[in-house]
Amino acid sequence: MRAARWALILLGLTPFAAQATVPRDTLVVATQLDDLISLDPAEIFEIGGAEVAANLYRRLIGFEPGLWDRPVGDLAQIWQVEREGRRYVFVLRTDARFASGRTVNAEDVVGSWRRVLAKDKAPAAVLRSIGLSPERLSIAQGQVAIDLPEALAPGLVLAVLASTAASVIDLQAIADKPEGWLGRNSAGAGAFELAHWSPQERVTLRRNPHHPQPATMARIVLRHVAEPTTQRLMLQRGDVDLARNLGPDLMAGLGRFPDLAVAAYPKAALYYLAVNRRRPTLAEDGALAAIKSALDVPALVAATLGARGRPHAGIVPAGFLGAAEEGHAAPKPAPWPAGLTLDVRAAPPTLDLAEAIQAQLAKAGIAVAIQPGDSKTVLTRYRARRHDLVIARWAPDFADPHANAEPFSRNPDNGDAAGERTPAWRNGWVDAEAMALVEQAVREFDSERRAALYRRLQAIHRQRGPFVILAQEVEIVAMRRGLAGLVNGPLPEMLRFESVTKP
Amino acid sequence: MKGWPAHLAALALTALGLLAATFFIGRVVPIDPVLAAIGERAPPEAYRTMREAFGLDRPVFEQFLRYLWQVLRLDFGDSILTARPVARDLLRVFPATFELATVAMLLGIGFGLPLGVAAAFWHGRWPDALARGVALLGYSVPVFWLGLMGLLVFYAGLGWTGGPGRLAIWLEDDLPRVTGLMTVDAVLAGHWAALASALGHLVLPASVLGLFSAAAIARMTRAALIEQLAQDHVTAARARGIPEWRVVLRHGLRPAAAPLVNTVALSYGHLLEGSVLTEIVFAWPGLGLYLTQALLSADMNAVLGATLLVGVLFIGLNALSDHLVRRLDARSR
Repeated sequence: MRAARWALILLGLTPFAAQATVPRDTLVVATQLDDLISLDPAEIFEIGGAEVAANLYRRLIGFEPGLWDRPVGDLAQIWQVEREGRRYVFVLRTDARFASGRTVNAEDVVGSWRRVLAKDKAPAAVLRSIGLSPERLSIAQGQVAIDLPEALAPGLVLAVLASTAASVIDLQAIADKPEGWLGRNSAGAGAFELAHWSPQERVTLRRNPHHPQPATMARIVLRHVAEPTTQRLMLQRGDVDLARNLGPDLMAGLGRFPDLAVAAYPKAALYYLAVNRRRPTLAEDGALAAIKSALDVPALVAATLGARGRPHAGIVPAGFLGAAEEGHAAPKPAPWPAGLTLDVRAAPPTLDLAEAIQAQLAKAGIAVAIQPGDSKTVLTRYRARRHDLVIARWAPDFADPHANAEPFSRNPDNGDAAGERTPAWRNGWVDAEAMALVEQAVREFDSERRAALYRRLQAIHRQRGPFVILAQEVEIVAMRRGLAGLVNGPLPEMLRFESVTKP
Repeated sequence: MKGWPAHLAALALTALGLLAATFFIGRVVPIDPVLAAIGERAPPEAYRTMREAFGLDRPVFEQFLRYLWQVLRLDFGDSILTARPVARDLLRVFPATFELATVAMLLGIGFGLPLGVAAAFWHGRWPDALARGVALLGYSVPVFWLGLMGLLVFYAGLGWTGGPGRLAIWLEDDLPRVTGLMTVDAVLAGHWAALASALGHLVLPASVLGLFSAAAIARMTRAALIEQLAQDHVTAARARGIPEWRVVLRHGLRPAAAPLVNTVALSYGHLLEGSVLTEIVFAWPGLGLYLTQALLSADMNAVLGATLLVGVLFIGLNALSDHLVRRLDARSR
């Protein structure tokens, strides 16, 4: 009798139970959206924004999944390089249409880039890295022409034109819209259009019905779920199809669930340790050498990042032209008594890396005090050169070695008031040979010779650069078994949902 | 206190103090807000323009006066993180917290009050032990852990409740937003599936938060009632042959109501601030989460707007509870 009463009480609670599952034409992704600030390609500077925009906008150039070092035409059907590499002429596809139904034309392409340059936010710096300016863009017989100030490696030019900054906007659709509208809406020719966005809550994408190859899913919902454990429970329960932020401990238990699977996607982002050469204790070469030789990087990466990182020693990520094959040297601890601080973002995996580095340096007699902080606090200190050592993460802006080679090497003005606050400047490193190599490589047409120049540059970095490149990131995604077609390349603009299919 | 004008003056002064403290603390936080707005790779020129647009190149005191003038016109500025007006953000996130806090409070009162009364009445016996156990649980178990355990057992394990978020994800785009309170909006739209989903998602986080309020209320009720039941007027009432339930409710609980009202108001105030940890665990897009994210990015307009809202709520609740206490307790008049 008592059991029956309990059963009735429990039955009474069941109306609360989730009764439906995710519809078959909808993909629900549990992710962390806290870095999504603007969806305007002229303003996007964070990973979250670039990932969403990748599905809303098309660019002239793109990549075939898996072949991230070989640019191919996206909106451009064919192109020609003229005047010894100073002029590029692109012929556009005729079947590409915006979500409004209008066909993409050369005015949209040139106008979108001019808009980015005029707004002069972070994406403008990407376009300017190949010398683009409004007057260097023109339209000739419906074709897009670019006249560069000097001949540059074609791989670089095309990689920049494949980046988020080069997204093509439906200029007619935004003509009568107020300033800032595009930050919260979309007007692109991508496979999806923006249906809804509540900051730090969710983003809903709706299929672009005018796309020549309509997306398989009618709807993509990106749900902000800050807590990884919660992400996992939602995946387990079937409320989401894909979870992007599970840590190694949460991944480990997934084997018990036969309907869940795990996939690894190598990313271009690097974790590195930087040494501020402006500090009196660190200005001597002996200090830098002692720190570099004390670290057993493969061991510390394996112990901290696990499957989420691969040890990587060069500033050019693996998979990019000119990535060096040499790994980290075996540790040879040389005593260097010094007391240093290590700034780090107080969250895994950077905090784990910091603790491992602290332990290894201690063995060499280098005492390091960890200074944990929020990511913005650490960045503010780093940009003000107030650190001794810092662990940072760097993701290239486009798929070309120059995207890393320049910021890590270029420091034309080492003064405190300098405008260019590259990682090289932040660590007070000035190396004329490294800077000259960057300039030479960017003008090298032959990709073999160009690759060799980047390898030489990385040898200099290993020998005397203020950075210890630790690892290249690997994104581990947990998903429903049988889910296929997700494209998740090394850069944020290579995350695509258009071909996803669900079991 | 001399009525509403005095209350309003106190409110204005407190709000001003709160704004000043938050503003100046915000200015010494070692975070560069410009970086949060345009990123670390923006051209130097863009950095300068943005810095000027934020008014950060002006003296701090001038910045504060400008901000005050803005607030007086009910303009809280734009948030850096959402690139939208702070007032609009608050209208979006506050209903989520309000709905959760109110249901949690009702659960807290509904559970805590009878428990406290039972504990006092059967002082030293098992209901008392139960009440003390619940109070101990409420005070000592971390809300984060309790939330995750709740999700693990009732959502992932048994499937009795809805999961994180305020609504099943595939219903979120279907429900038109009117009040921002999911349950109310679902009723207004006649969307019964959404109502069931909203209730299903509300029950777990509200119970977790409600437990903490119940603990405070049960403890306070028990203590106040034990004190009252030992008083002479209660003994006299019993001697007059008044039924025991009337003795407890009328002669015991009635005089104990004043401190209880204060406890409830304080608990409700805390719940309305938004419980950051509960909001994180349950992916609940409320005020606590908004304020925390804003703090971590030195998004000062958002921090100031949210702090002001919390401050005004607290002051309002305080005034309300003062008023109620004066009506309930002749001694405080």
